[in-house]
Amino acid sequence: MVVSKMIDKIRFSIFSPEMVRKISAVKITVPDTYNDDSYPIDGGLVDPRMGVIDPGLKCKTCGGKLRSCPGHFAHIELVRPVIHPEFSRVMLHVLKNTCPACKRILVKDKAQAEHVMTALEEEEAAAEAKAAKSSARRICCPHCKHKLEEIKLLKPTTFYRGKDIMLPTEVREWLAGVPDADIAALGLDPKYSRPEWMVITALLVPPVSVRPSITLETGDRSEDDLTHKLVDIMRINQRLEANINAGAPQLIIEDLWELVQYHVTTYFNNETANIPAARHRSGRPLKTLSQRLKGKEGRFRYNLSGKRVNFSARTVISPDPMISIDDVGVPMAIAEEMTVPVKITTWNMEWCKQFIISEKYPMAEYVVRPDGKRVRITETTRQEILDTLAPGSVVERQLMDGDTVLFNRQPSLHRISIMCHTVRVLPGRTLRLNPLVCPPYNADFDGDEMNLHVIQSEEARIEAEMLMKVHDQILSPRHGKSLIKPQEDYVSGAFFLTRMETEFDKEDACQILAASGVTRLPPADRKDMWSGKILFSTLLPSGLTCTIMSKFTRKLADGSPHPDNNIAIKNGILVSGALDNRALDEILERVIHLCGTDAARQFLDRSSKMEIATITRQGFSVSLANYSLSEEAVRKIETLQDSMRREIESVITQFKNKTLARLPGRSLKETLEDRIMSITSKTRDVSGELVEKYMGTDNTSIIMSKIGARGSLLNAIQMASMVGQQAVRSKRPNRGYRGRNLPHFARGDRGGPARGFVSSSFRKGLLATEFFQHSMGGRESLVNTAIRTARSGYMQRRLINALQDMVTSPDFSVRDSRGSVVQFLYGGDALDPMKSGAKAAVPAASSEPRDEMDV
Amino acid sequence: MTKKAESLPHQLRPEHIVLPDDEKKKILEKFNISEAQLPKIKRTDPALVGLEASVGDLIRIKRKDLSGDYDYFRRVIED
Repeated sequence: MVVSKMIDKIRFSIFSPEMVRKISAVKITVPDTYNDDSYPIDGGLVDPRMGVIDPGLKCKTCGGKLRSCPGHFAHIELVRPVIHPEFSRVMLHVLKNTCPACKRILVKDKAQAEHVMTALEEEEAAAEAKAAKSSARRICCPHCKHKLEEIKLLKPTTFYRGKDIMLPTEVREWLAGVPDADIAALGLDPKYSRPEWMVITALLVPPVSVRPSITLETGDRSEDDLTHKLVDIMRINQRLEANINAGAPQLIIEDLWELVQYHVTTYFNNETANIPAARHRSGRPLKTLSQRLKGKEGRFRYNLSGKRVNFSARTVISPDPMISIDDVGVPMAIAEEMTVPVKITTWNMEWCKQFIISEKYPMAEYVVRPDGKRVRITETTRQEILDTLAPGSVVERQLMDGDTVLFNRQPSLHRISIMCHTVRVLPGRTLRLNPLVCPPYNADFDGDEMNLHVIQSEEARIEAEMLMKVHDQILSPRHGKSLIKPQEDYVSGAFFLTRMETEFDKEDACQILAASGVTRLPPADRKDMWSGKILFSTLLPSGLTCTIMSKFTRKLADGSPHPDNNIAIKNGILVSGALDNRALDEILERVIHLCGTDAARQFLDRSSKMEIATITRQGFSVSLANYSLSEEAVRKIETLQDSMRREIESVITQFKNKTLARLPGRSLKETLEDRIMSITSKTRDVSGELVEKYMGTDNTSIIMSKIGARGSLLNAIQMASMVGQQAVRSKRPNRGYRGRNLPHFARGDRGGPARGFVSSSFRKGLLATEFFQHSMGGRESLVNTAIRTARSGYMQRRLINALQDMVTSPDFSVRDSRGSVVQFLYGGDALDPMKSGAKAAVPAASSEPRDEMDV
Repeated sequence: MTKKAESLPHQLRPEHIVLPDDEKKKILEKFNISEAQLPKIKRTDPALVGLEASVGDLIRIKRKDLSGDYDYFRRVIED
């Protein structure tokens, strides 16, 4: 059924007691649910007239069954009215601004009345200021000159008039007396939301389907929290009635009345301020109406904004460097479970029949006929289905190689957290991805899980392939630099492959080329040997020419600069230079601009395999020996630390003698700290130079840090020579005991070791005091990361909510959903960062994708 | 103490210019928008001190940043 109606407006208003009685199917009279025979009690809280939740039963109101009966509301007649806790502020507003005697609004003319209306919104902020003003101004009613008393609200539900408590009945009478015109002036719509309706006389009871009871394995019924709460309300309400009828003293009646009020308050919101939460027998607070809707686990954010989907799979991920970056390895168990609908045409009829005939993977389990009927393929139905198969039917076949899926890792912080992959069904029980695509997902393999979504329509498939394919996301949309790029061992591999001394005989050359999917052996460039450079060049597009300076500057034995320092590519041939990570990035970006993203994918796939082949062939590792320095170096570092110690001592002596020259804008103490910090950091730098010099350019650790594969020089320094100065809040640590960090030091010792200078190396091992101070610094950085993620997450949530409707229009202006201009030129230059790298700038909304250019 | 606050020419404060009516019309036509769809600036905004801008005027703001020089426009509104 098509409903061709537009929603014009929605009005939120308050139910009047009459309205509640009108829509109520039952008046609840018994404060109980089921009788001893476990039948619902008539007039009880699960009266069958409220609708049924047990299968097989019929609703006594509409005659519908489990599915067709929507449930019907009931109501409870409260013997004494109670205040609705969520509306008490509005009631206070009305009470404060009307006269208790004549019930008129406390202003004279119309202009003033309008002023009060806007005041409703400002109520909160201006409450105090207004209270002060009104008590001074309004001593008596402008209409009947009745003396006014101050109205106060003791949250959540108690009203005071002067010093006396106002009973809900009084509040109700007062509110009911306010004329419609004045209600409107106070900002309420008298037709739909009279304030006296905020005092509850008839409490609406939601249908049973809203609060279903659970049957435990033991056969016991366990009622919903809401039902429990309603039973409480009913029970006290009945006691109150009995007491009133018996003519009990006013005190007892008011106590019970108060109790009804408490139960109703917690029924609406069990986290009301100043009210103890109603608890379950086990001590767990009850989840009442407000708690169902509020917050992250509430109805809105959990059930309505967050949805669960079909055709998705989730499992642990693992790396597979042999598959393409576009691929995702899907375990057979998942492939067998998930289906792809294939529309049958005359052209694919035979192909589709295979799946119907097949009894093992790849097969189909259902066929959807053109009339929309789903038929299960079984031994008995198979032949009939095959015979009647016609174009227009849909076969739901299992997931196969080459299918398009979306792959996602949470948190989905940016658009490249969900990308489009091609399925490869592989053995094993994990989803596999090429380690090169870890950065966009921010994935690692320490137990990460990822989600897979199988695309169910051709339109969606095409859209995903055009917009979300992994190879279209190699460049980051944020800064236009590559995000999917060779890293770690790939970079090392590329370095060892392309450095000058690398050469292979014919067999090895063929092996390496074959491993990377190259089938043509280039002519040998060194007599009958092949250099690594010529092998790598087979992957480069012929038009590529560039020169890059390597970060890794080496020297030959005779002291002259190493020819590999200059990386030069001429017409797709790597002429000189050993590649580092920057050079690889540059080549990748140029390949994209030259040949498009699909060629870049192929380049990445092939080069990474070539790099792996190289590095597995020769082996690559670091060991303790990498960080053992010669005796000469150790001596030099010791001398360096000695001179640092002396320097610090001399500064401290100057500080104590007050002869230390103060730095501009700093106190004497700060000057001392600054000086010491600069001495320690200088020491570490100098020791870094020593480490670099003595470890040499053949040290694998140095190679890795220099070519940008893994680790930094700092890591090497900390392992080989000294860990250096620790810091807490970017200062030398000074906490713990009076005048000292640890009891190992003398009070007032401001020297290096006493304030977190670690002179040991990680290789040698830290002293107990050093270890402690190092842990202080380590703790700080750990705490910082934790805080940073939490805070930036919330910031981003707010930003996304604010910016989600922004659109770049064809004239390059950025508009919001109303068509208002936010930016006159997208980003100030109308450029898409992803397509505007250093090479070529392309307008943001350009319809011509760059990667379609000819090769 | 009775010195009047003037907006200072500062390297970070982009130049603000009041546009004549015909240019304003051109801008509205160029983006095919009504006045209400323009970004706003309060008449009392410190950036407008010393500028004879009245409510309804269109201000051109010459911005300079990493993406180059470009113009932004704001409609002057009442406080």
